[in-house]
Amino acid sequence: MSGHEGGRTMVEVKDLKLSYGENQILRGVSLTVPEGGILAIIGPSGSGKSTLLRCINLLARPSAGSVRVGSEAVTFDGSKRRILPDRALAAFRSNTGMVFQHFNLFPHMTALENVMEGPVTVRKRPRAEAEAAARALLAKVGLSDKADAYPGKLSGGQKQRVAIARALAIEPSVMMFDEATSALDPELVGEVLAVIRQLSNEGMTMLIVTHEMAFARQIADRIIFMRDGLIVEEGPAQSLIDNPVEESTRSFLAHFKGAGLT
Amino acid sequence: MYDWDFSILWQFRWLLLVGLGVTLLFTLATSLLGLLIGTVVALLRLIPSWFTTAPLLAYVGLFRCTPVLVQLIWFYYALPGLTGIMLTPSLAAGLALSLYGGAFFAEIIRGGIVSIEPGQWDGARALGMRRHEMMRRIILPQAITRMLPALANQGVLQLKNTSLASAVAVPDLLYQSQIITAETYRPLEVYTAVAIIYLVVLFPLTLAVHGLEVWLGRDR
Repeated sequence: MSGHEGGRTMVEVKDLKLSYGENQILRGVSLTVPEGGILAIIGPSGSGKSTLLRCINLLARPSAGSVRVGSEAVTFDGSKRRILPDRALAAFRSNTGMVFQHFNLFPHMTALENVMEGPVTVRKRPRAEAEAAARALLAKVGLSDKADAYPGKLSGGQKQRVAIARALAIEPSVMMFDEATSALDPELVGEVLAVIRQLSNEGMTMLIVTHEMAFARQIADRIIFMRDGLIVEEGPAQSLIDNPVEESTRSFLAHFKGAGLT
Repeated sequence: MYDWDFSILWQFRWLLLVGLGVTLLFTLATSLLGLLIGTVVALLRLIPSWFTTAPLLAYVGLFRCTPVLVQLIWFYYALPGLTGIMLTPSLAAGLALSLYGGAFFAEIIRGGIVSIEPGQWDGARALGMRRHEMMRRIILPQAITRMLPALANQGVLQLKNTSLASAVAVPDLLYQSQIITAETYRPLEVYTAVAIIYLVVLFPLTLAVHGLEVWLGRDR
C-alpha cells in the first residue's frame, strides 16, 4: 500500500487554523498526501476532521494557514475579504471530489443527471459525451439499472454510490470522503466501502474521514488521529491502529476494540 | 322582492370583454414585472451586507405595509406634484401594482431559496459550480417547486388587485361595470356578473396550478 510514497505531493496543508467566534475548531493542522496516497483521518466527534476536509476544498474558511491541491495553492490571512474571485474559487474546488455523509444528491435530477451535472455545467462537456461517461461511471459503481431513478427512490447505499460517481465525473485529482458511511444502515456500508476500495486499487489520491477503523487500517497508507482541533498522532495505518503511542489514541481506539470493530 | 334581469347585460358584452382584456393584460404585465422585481430583490437580499439589505428592507416594508389603493392614488396624484413626472393612469396603476406585487414576490422567493438545505449548496459548490450556475441549476429549480403555491396565491391576489386600478380610471373589468351601472341602474346584476367572470377566470387557474404542483412533485 505504501508503494506510492515518495511521489509528488498532491495535497499539502500547513498550519491550518479555524475558529467560530471563541470556539477553535482547528488549532494548527499540517499534513501532506502524496499522489496516489490514501490518508485516513479518525477521531471523536467535534475533533475537527470534517472541518479539515471542508477547508481543503474551501467549503469552510480557515483564519490562517495554507492549502495546496495539485499545483494550486491558497493562503489564508484572516481578513474578511473573499478568499478568491468566484471563478477561481469554483476552479479550485473542482480539483477535488467530495462525498458527504448525507449524500447531498440533487433531488430534482435522476441519478444519471446528477452524475452528468459536473461535466456539463462545470467542465462544459457536450451532453452526449458527458452522458456516455456518466453511464460508464454508474456502471462502475454498480448502478447501471438505476440511471433514470430519482434519488428519492434509491436506498442510502445506492445514493452514496451515485454521489461517488458524481464526484468522480469531474475528474478530480483528489477524492475526499466525509464520513461517507456514517448515515447508512449497517447492511449497506459494505457496498460503499467496496467502491472506495476499488478506487484505491486504481491509484486515486484520497482523504477519508471515517469511523470504520478496520476499513481505515486496511485501505489507508497513513492514518491521522485528531482531537480538539489538533493532530495527536500520525503514522502508518496498521501500526497506528495496532500499536498507538499516545494515550488519547489508545483510549479512543479502545471503544472500537471493545465492540470488536477492528 | 328584487326583480333580477340579467338580459340587460347582453348589449354591454363588448364593453365587459374589453374590460376583461384590460384586467388580464394588467395582471400579466404587473405579475411579470413584479416577479422580476421580486427575483432581483430576493437575490440581492442574499448578499450579507447592510448597504444592500437596508434599502431593500425599506422597499419591501413600505409596499407590504401600506394599502395598495393608497399606493395607486399616490403614484397618480402625488408623484406629479413632488417630482413633476406625470404618469398616465395605466402607467401609474401598473407601476404601483408591480411594486406592490414585487414586495410580496420578493419575500416568497427569498423564503423559497433559504429553505433549500445547506447540503444542496455544499454539493453544488463541491462540484466547482459558480454562483450563478448553482442558483440556476440546483437551488432555484428546487426552490420554485416549494414557492409555487405561494406564488400562485400572490398571482390570484394580483389579478383581483387590478380592480383597484379603476380608482384612477383604468378601463378594467370593474371600471366598465361602473359605467354600465351608471347607464342601467342595475348594480346587482352588473356586479354579480363581474364576480362570476372573475371566478370563471381564476378558479380553473388555481386548479391548473395545483396540477402543476402534483406534476413537479412526481418521482420525489
